[in-house]
Amino acid sequence: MNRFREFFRTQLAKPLTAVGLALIIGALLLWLAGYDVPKAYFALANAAFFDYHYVADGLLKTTPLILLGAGVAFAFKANVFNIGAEGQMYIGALAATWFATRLDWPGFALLPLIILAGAIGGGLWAALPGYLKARLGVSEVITTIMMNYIAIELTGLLLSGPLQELDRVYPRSDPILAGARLPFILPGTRLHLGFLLAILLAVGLSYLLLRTVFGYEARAVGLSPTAARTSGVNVQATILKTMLVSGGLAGIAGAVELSGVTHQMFKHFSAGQGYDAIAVALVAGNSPIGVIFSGWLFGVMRAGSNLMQRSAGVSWSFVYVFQALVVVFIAISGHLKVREWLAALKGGMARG
Amino acid sequence: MADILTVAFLVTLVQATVRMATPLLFTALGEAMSERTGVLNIGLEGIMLIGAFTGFAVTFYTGANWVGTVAALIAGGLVGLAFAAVCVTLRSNQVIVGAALNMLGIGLTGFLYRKYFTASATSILIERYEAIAIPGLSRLPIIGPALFQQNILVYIAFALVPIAAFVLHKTSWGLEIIAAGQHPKAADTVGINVFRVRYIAVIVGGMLAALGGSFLSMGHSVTFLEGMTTGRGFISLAVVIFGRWSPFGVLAAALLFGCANAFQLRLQAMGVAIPHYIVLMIPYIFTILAVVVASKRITAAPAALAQPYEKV
Repeated sequence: MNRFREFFRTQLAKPLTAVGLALIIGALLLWLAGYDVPKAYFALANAAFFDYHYVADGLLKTTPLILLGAGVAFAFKANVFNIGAEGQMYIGALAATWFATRLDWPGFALLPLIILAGAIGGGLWAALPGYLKARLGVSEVITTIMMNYIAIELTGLLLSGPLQELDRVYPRSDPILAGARLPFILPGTRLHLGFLLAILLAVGLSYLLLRTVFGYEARAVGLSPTAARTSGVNVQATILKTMLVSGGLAGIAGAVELSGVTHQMFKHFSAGQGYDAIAVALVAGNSPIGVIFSGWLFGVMRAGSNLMQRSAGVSWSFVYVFQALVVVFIAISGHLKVREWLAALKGGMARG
Repeated sequence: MADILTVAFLVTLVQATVRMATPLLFTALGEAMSERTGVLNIGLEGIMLIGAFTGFAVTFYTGANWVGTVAALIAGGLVGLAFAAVCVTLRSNQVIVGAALNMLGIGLTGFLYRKYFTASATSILIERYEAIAIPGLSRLPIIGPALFQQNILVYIAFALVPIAAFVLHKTSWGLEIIAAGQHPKAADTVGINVFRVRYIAVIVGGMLAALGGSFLSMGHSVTFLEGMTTGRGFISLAVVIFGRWSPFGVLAAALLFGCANAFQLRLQAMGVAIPHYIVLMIPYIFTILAVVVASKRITAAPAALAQPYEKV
């Protein structure tokens, strides 16, 4: 029981408080805007837990968030601010498109190839900012943001060139071939095998981070590069490898979205999930296992917002307000001295 | 390709360059000031959206453009104040809070726009800031119609450049700003209130980003669209780096980025399909090169950028 309490205090208290506060402020905002708050939140809860199709849709939307969030979390652990998951996802999807529209192979052979292509594409795209940070000390925040825009323009370019549909009308690819589609796993829904893959990879990443030398080195660099260097860690190589892993996961997310959801590549392929991943990683406290749950939280909010829009008329954009609030609360929480205040309050009451 | 060189093409190109550069100029000037004091705000995209929406909504309900502009300035200032409270006083991570600000901008403006403006099926239009021709100058060939027949916001944006340069390089405020960003501890020892300097810079930065955003909904176009900033907040970050954190540098970079955008739009309009993606890509590639070059020599970036200051 004590171990559970310890786990709660160190791991769960912060994100749960942040989510709770965001829900309260969200409710206030909805109420001020004249919406039926109970109806809206009931719709959210219904979509999250009870309605079969919405639950499946929530898991569907969770899938890329787990992959992207795990990648971002891993980089954050090494104190590398990879804001470039969005671009890495695009490049991963582009690499996957190349094979998925060309090779008429059976799924068991083509799907691994597509996912591998996504990982390599995303990893290489992240390698450049990683290299620049490791070798020259160039801030990865700026370079990864720039790489996002380059990736999106590159997508436009390739979709008007070698990857364009055969009809050559729109800047988009042809639909991917049958063998390139991830199988559905819940009858009557669009939930695909990528969801299980995402969970598997998050667990694998947790192992990499906590149980391997590389993971140890990444964490050491995150805590203090100077201390890590003194104790013999190759900091530059660790930063580069961290970006490869982080970008690789984002690239897999792109491949999985292509292969499981869109079945076609187009210029505005992602609605900013690469940026949402920052929120996912943060809520999880940068724990790869935690990302499964925080990814689910935001995935469910996305699916639920559709139901909320239909039943209570609340715009889906509300999810982003909620997400921003959660992130801000978590960003603040490490710097508020709540425990000291509480202790002071208790001390004051004891004296009074 | 011959029609690229006609006078009419040049006029529209320069005109569009100036229009495209204006929101970047506002936003990047503010961000340059903020970064000079040591605060990196990557939430510009969100603030611009909030400015664009506020300017549009208030103009729609009051019927007066200037009221909309004032409201956008206030909204931007409030967001800046909140950002400063969280990142300067509480010393939270600036990159993370900036990312949250972008989500807030998308979410809040989308939420409010759908709540108050989507009752009718047609898009809702407001009065545009009228172009003001500067007597004499507007009659110059090519440059006249391109530069001196713009609306008031454009003139303000360009006038801010020498003002910002003057403040930064010729006044004691400028010294305080640079000191707070280079060596906050030393600045503190000589009696500069680092917190106050950073608060003011971040608030002004928020106001200018909102003004830049409001230009999109009130000058460039006459309506609000969800996500209408389309990455300009992030581009402004690039403009600051490319302009090496100096007001005139920012002006040059904003014009360069504006020109690249105007040029690709003309290419698209002329039906030249493929190269416009490359033209759009170039500014970002240049920005990465600029950061790399900056890292090789004594850097122009404020030494304490993105580092919270803790008074001991």
